[in-house]
Amino acid sequence: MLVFDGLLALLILVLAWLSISSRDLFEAIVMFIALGLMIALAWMRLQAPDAALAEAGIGAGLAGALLLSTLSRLARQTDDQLRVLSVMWSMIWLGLAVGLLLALTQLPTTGQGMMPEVLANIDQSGVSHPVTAVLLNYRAWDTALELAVLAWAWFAQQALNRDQRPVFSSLQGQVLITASKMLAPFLVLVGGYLLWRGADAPGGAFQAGAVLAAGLVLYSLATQVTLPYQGWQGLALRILWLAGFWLFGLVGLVGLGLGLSFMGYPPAHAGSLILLIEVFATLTIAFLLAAMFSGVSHGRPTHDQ
Amino acid sequence: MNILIDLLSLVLISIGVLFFIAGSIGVLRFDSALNRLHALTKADNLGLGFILLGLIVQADSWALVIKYLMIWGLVLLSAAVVSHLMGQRAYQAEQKGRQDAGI
Repeated sequence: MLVFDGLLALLILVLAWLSISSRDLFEAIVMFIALGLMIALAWMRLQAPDAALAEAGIGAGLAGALLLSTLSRLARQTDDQLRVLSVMWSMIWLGLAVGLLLALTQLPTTGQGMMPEVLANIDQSGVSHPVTAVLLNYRAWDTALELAVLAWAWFAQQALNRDQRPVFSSLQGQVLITASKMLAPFLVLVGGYLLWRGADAPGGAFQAGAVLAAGLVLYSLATQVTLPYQGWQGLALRILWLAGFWLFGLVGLVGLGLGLSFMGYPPAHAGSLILLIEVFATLTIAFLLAAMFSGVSHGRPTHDQ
Repeated sequence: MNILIDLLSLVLISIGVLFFIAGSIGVLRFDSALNRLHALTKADNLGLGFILLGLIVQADSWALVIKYLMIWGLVLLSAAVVSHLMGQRAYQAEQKGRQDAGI
C-alpha cells in the first residue's frame, strides 16, 4: 500500500498545483473537485472516515457546485492577467512552507494522542462514537462556532451580491426532473441515517447536512426554483438557518444554569441533547449551503423565464 | 472451494478493471464529446458492475450483497442522468457551432 499512498500524495500535490495554475477557470474548478475527492481518499487511508465523508460531501461536492454556480455568473471564463513573480509573496509563502515543515518534524510520532482521555470519559458523553463525542460534547463550542462561520459566509455572500441566482441553461426533457424526484427520498433517508448513526459510527450533522443540501441543490437545478424568502416558508427558513447555532447556545446556557460549565451537558441527558442539537444543526447546514448555491428569491415568484 | 471463489472474484474484478482502463483510454483518445461519453458509460456501468460482482461472491451476508447492488443501482441512475445532461450540452454546443459557421 506504500506505493498507493505515495501515488495518492503525489496526485494531491499535482491536482492542487493544477487547480491554482490553470488559466481556464472551469478547468481549475474541475481540478479542485478532483483534489477534494483525492483528499477524501487520503482521509480514508488515514482511517478517518468522518473527515473523508465531510471532505467528499462539502469540500469536493458542495464547494465545487458553489464554485461552478459562481463561474456561471462571471463574465470572464479565463484568467488572462499577466503573472508576475512577486518577491514579497514568494518570501511569505516560502516562510510558511518552512514553518510547516518545521512543525511537521515537531509532531509526536509515538503515543496515542488524546484518545485515552476521550475514551475514558465516553460513558458520560452521551454517545459512543469518539469523533461525535469530541465534536458535540468535549469541544462543542468549536462546532457551534463552525456553524456561526457558515452563517457568516452566507451573510457575506448576501452583502456582496443580492441577486444570487445562478444562470441555469435550459434543458429539454424530463430526465433531470424525474431523476431528482427518484433520488429525493434516498437523499433524505441517507441524511437521516448519517445523522442517527453519528452517535456510534462515522457520520453526524455535517455529513447529513451535506447530503440534504445536495438534494436541495439537485431539486433547485431540476425545477429552477430558489428557496423562498416570503411567507411562512420563508419565515421557517430564516429561523432554521440559525436554529442550530441558537440551540447550541441555549443548551450551553442551560448547562451553566445547572451549575455545570458553559456547554456542559448533564450526563444523564447528554445523548438526547446532542441528538436535538444535531438535528437542528443538520437543517441549518443543509439550508445555508443550499441557499448559498441556488440563492433566495426575495420578491414574489416571477413566472417569466 | 475458497480458492474457486477467490479465482472467480479475481476474474470478475479483472474484467471490471479492464473496462475501466478501456473507458479511460476512450475518454482520453476519442475526438468528440458524445464519443467520449460512450466510452465513459462503459467504464461506469460495466466496469463497476463487474467489480461489484467480484466483491459480491466474497460477501458473507445478504445485507452486504444488497448494499453492493444498491451502490450499483444508484451509480447507474446518476451516471445515466449525468451522461444525458452532458450529451445535451454537447449537442446544444454543436448546434450553436453549426449556426455560427452558417451550416
